[in-house]
Amino acid sequence: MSWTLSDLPKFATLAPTRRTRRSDENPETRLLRDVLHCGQSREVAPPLNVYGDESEIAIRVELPGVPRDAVEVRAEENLVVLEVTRPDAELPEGAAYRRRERPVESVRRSVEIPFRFDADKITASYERGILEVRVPRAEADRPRRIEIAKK
Amino acid sequence: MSTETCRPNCCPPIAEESTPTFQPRVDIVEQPDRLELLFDVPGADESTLEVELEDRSLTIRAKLESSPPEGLPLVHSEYTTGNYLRRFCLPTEVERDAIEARYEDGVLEVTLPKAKAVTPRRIEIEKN
Repeated sequence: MSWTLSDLPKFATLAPTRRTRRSDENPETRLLRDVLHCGQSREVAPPLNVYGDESEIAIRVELPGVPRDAVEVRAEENLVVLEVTRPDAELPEGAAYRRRERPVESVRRSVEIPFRFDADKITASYERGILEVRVPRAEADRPRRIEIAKK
Repeated sequence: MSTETCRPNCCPPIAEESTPTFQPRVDIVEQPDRLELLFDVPGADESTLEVELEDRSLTIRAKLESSPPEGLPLVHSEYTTGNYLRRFCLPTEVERDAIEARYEDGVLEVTLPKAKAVTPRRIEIEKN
C-alpha cells in the first residue's frame, strides 16, 4: 500500500454522523437495534483531534468525567470505533438542576485509519478527562526499500 | 442562578489574553443545604486551578496543561484547546469558610454550603 503524509487528512473527513458498517449483522438484528435506540438515548459525534505520521495515528477526544468502564474502543476492519455510554446521573431527593450544560448523550464516532494496523497493538489512555487512542501502523505495511540484486 | 444577567459592577470585564480562553460548561445542582457546581475542564492542570469568591462573584480559572503526543504532528483538528474562565453571581450567601473544591478526570467540583438562613420572625405590632 503506497501512502504518504499528504493522504493523512483523508481519513478524518468522515461525516460526523457516519456509522460503522456492521456487515456481520442481519437486517432483523439491525432493525431491532435501531428501534431499541430510537428515542431511548441520543448519540453524538464528539469532536476529535488527530495526530499522526507515516507510522502511527493518535486520536484525542475530550470526555471529562466519564467512567473508564463506560468507554469502549474497538477495531472494525479499517476503522477504529469509539463508544461511550454515559451512566444516568440521578439526583437525590430534594436536589434540582439549576443549570445543565454538560453533555449527557452517548457518544459514537469512528475513524478510518489510512494504513493497515494490528488491532492488538491499539492502546488507549485516559488522563485529565482526555481519551487518547494510539494506532500503530502494522510492521508488514510499512514502506520497505527493495535492494536491486547485482548480477 | 444566572450567568448572563450578572450586573456589570458584580462581574468586572475579563482581561484579554493571548491564549484562547473558554467558558467551561457547568452543571449546577441545588441541594437544600448547598450548591454543587460541576465544571468540564478537560486537560486542565491541577496546580493552576483557582476558585475565587469575592462578594458574590465566584470565579473559576484553569490553565491548560496538555501537550500533543510526542513526535506526532496535528493532522486534523475539530476542537481548540485553551485556558478556562467562568464567572458567576451567586444568588444566595454561602458559608465562605466551608467551600470545597476537588478535581478529578477533567471535572472540577465545587461545593458551596448555603449560609444559615435567618429564621423568620414575627413582629408583633405594639398596641397603644
